[in-house]
Amino acid sequence: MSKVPLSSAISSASAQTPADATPTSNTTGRFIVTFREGAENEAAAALSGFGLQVASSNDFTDSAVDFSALSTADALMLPEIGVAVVSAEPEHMDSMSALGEASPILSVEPERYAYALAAPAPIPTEEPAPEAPAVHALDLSASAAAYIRGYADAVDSLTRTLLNSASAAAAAAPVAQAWNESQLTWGLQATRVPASVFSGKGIKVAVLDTGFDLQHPDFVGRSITATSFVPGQTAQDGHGHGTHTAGTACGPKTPAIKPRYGVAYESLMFIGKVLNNNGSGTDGWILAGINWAVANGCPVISMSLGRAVAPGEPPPIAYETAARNALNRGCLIIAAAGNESDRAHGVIRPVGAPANCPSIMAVGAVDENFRIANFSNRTINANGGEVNLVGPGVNVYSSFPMPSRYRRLSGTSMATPHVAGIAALYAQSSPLLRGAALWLRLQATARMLAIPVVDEGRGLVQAS
Amino acid sequence: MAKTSYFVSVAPDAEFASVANALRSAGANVKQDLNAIGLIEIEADEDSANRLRSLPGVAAVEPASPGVQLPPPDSPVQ
Repeated sequence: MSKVPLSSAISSASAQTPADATPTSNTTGRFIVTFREGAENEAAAALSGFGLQVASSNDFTDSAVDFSALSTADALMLPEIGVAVVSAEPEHMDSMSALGEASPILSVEPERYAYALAAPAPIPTEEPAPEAPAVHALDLSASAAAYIRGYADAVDSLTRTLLNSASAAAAAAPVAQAWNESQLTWGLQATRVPASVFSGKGIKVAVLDTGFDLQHPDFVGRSITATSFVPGQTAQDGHGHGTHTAGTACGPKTPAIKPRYGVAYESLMFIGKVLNNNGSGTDGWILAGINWAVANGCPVISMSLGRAVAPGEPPPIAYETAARNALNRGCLIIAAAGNESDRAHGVIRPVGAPANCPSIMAVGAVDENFRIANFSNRTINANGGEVNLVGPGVNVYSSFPMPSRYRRLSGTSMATPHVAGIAALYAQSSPLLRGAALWLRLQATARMLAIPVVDEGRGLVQAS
Repeated sequence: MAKTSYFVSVAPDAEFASVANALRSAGANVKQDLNAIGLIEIEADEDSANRLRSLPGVAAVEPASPGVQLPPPDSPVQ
């Protein structure tokens, strides 16, 4: 292939100097070109104009990008995330100059190896944080999912370092407020669900939990496919946990008794009972439930379950195998980060299993004042043990088996279905938003809070 | 030796059915074929499970964890 000099033209509107663009030991030798939102066609034309062979992720089935395509193209467009990965000789990047504000190209920077955010990361202070060490190199043979996530983490790490994240996040973060829950739960308001034009219509949402109260009056007429993987027990919820979590993810827009508490009110509910009526479950039941949800093509799989792990403990291989296969089939698994912490007493525990798998999205919990919940676990372990997002997880009102009908509960179990329901809204908005692309969209639209990255990941999930 | 649950991860480039057959031919007691997610649950003692690691198409053999236990329904934190 011809490596064409990007002579004199592609440029950075964001003061990226040529010196900065010189690859270092942290960089891959390739470059990331960020283009203006919606300007992918113009950006592709600009890159072609410099003699580059341009390929696009849209050329691949279901956006499952084969990064080996870069061996036959000079530039790979990733319109889902607004960037192109460009191979060009570094010395030619030095000669780039500004195209001006009308350019579809916003910036050019060296591609970096993936960073894990795990690092018992410094709590942001007024001092600029040292850049996190690269703990593992990017494996180009790995899935596009891993690639995109790794790159996103690197960008996030860099951005926070450069912007001195504590003050930046604090300035932009929402402030505590008194919520009026007469019409809508605080969690729906905080995640901007009411403003969404989407309802999850037609999207299969699997909730793997203790089952569901199949006679609950708020769900009369809903499409519910229920299966039990617990020997000797039906999918009917004899615990309550599953009815509460499924209610948050999928509950109705206009329940007879207000407030509204559910997100994806027109989604297709797939209830997999994987925990028995005492709230316990084996890996065999849980993995059978995941297999069922994936075989049924559920783009969203919500798992408010997990077990504690020790610092340094690696993620379970079987769940990672399951989750990677699920992602490759367009199914995103979203799991609770766990409640083993007791921050008021100085106890902070790592994200539990299976949320600690690299291919499973881990969800922590925040309270009504946008503080991290006392019990919510933290990013302590590497290689998947990161908190990816947070959701409303304190004093969460949702459905509960009759005759109670409703209950307020707290936990990362309650935060998780907020993310799952919102994932269904995004999935409805585009058939391309599946698997890794859906993961990325959830992170890209999240709202940073004024709390440490190790606790909030990319921040509070947002529906719009 | 006591027999317990193990999960066999099928390698990404391997054919699921051939790995499942190979496990059975090797005498494994297969409990579940989870073919949508590349896993096979078997019941085996530790020595037998270790021997299966060398079969073609087997990426990993991992013992089942103790599993999950939620708090009781009346616990405020779930």
